[in-house]
Amino acid sequence: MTAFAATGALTRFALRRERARLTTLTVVLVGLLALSVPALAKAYATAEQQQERAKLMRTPVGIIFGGPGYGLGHYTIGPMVVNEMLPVLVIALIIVNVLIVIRHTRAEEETGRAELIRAAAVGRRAPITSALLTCLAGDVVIGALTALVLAGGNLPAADSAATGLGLALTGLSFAAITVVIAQVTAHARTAVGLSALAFGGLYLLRVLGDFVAPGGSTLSWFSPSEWVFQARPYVELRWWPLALHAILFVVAVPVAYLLAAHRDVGTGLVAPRPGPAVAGRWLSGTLALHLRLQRGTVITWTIVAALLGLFYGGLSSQVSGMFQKNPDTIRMFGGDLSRITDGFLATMLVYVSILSTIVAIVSVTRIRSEERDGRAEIVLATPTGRVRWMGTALLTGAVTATVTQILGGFCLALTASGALRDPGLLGTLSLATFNYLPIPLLFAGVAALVFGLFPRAATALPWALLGLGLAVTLLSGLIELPAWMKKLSPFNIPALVPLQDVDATPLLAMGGAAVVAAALGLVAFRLRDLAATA
Amino acid sequence: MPSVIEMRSVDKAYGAFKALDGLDLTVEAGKVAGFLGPNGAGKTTTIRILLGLLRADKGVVKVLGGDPWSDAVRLHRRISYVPGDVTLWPNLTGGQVIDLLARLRGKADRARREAMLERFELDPTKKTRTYSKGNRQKVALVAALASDAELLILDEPTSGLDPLMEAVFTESVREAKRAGRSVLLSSHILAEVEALCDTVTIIRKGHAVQSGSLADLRRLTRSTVVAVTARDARSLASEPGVEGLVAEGDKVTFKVENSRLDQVVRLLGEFGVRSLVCNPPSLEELFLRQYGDAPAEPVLAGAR
Repeated sequence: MTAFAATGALTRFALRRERARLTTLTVVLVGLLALSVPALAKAYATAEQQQERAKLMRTPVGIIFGGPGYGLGHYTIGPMVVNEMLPVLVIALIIVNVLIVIRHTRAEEETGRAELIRAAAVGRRAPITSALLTCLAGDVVIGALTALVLAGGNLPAADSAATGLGLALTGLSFAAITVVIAQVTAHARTAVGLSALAFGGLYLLRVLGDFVAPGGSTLSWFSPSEWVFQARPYVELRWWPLALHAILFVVAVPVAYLLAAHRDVGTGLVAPRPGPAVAGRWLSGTLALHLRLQRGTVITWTIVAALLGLFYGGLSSQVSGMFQKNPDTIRMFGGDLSRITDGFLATMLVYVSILSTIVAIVSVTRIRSEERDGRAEIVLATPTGRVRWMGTALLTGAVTATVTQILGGFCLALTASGALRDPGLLGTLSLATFNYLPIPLLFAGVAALVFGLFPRAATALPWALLGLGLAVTLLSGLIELPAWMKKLSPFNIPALVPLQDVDATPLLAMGGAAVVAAALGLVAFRLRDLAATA
Repeated sequence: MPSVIEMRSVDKAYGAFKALDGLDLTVEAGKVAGFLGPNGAGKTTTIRILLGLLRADKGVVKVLGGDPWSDAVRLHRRISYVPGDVTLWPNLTGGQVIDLLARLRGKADRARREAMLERFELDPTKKTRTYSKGNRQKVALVAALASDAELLILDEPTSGLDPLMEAVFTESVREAKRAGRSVLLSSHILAEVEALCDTVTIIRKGHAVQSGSLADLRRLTRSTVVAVTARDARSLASEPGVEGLVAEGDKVTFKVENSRLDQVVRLLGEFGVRSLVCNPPSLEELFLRQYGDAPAEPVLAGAR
């Protein structure tokens, strides 16, 4: 068993390093659950109220954020917790398991700390095993406390135990998937990205599968995050779906051991390929540099926007039937019952603008990390003016956000016009998407202003503003907010085209504000010292 | 001789911390100027001011006859810079970065680039995230040395290089000097400065405590003499200008002020000299004298 030598010591060390994070997570998750179980019981006391709530879970949003929807026919507190609370716990636990595994395997190797460890009497399989044991410890504690809280909330004990166990096993399954992924690439960031992609892909499969049939279809079963829901706690409990986790674990972990045995410490299975020795003709000037640096991010988010457009466009023909009797969701989509489809499509264009705003913020805030890490210094020591360097970055943000907005809108137009058999919609929606373009531009301008004036806040503040805007928008879809508060979010400012007519005034105001903010940011940056940490 | 860099009484504060406090610095055209000081003395701040990345609070700053803050872009056409801590774009290869920097400067000399890559033994096809610190430094060095800039500003350029590459670097700087280019070389590797620099400025707490040609600086201080004599030469200890005399058998070691050297050597002759070594003060001694923690034992010549 020398391959496992020092696993115990490494696990204790890993737990020591994770103690603050794991404790916080446990307190937050279990606390959230402990507070919400009685709150749900109080808010939905009568059967009528509970059934009203169940309707919401049948909507696409309910399926995306909830689960396959067991027990909707007789929606009591048990199924309600599983449908509405458990997904949050599952997602949080998966993210934490992925990050713990990467932190204690790949990130250790990348920083060179693993070399120090492996030079001691430490077995080849010890790092992987200790990362899994660390996850196991966290998962078991959270799972057990979850079961206790649920059972303590007057829910059946066996079902509560199954829920807790299923939650813990889901976390562990993703830890097992991640140890395999961690063997493939040499860089922790890439490994986290691949794990996120794996999780996102599997989650999407589940959503699609759950759309196909109530209670999920074959497609749903491909996603390990689905299995705890398929155990149907509080409805008709069955334990065997949880056994699937054991199968996954028994397959994945030996694969990780095998892959680890076939590679050197610090390297991935996929060796970093050598690149071009000479820069292509296109890579000259700061605009080309900014575009090159944004390439990966922009491609990713543009694809997400396109998929979102295609997906919801295709769904648009179902909308009016789905929302007919649900006043809660109608407010979310413009509040006009007779034109709910237009309201839905307009809201989807707003969602596309959230993605294009993310692209804009990523592009503009990148210049702060360029400055902080000293890469801006190298460029600005060449005959490149500050205004040119920052200006081309802003241009990059504006152009890439525009591309995302147009492509997302076009994809929505494409499938919506097909699904609704309305060819005219293709043109209408493709044009309507431009109505929302001032949103990402405004965020880009504000981010530029913050960068010029307060470089230390240049990354955090734009994201915080986006979070604030999203919170206001989300809230205004759920409850009636005063008009002025609603307009605090840039996402609520443009008219809801095609539900409403284009209103040029706010658009021009937003565009003008964006330009002024960007110009002030450029001037401020021209006048201040470069603020590098080194 | 006109100067390419001229700083007079320059102040720069970061909040309450005074990074530069009345700094004077001059680099003459066609010369290699050493810029010495420990970490935190203000070397990098000075260089960032010279590049217009920071603005001086007070004082006069002239680079190639212009103001580095307002004429940054124009001046940078004639300057190449190697930062002390080179960070690069992890997804680009070394070759791509070198070409990008050359294109940002305007002119690219393909042949020089290839020659420099070969000389520094740098693989341009690797992504910069896989480079060690030394290799990242080589990328910046190749880009700077392959350019035709009149003024090279190098901030501790060899801190990550191995001794072989240091020698390559030394040769490259000599070559640049022969081509008539001026160099400001910040360093705390004294041997490198001693080998390369015509003038030296020692900076302490943001203030130049000593500057001039290496020869001038040496003249102001003391040489170390080691002599083996036929007769006991201990009595030299009482001679004016002689300090720290230590005798071991027939060997004496002492320091002597350069102005008294002639007189002392004459006296030494009377004891029957069998062997005589006279070393000028090393830069290390000059440096340590400025920092007031010169070792108790006499430091023998040849820093490092």
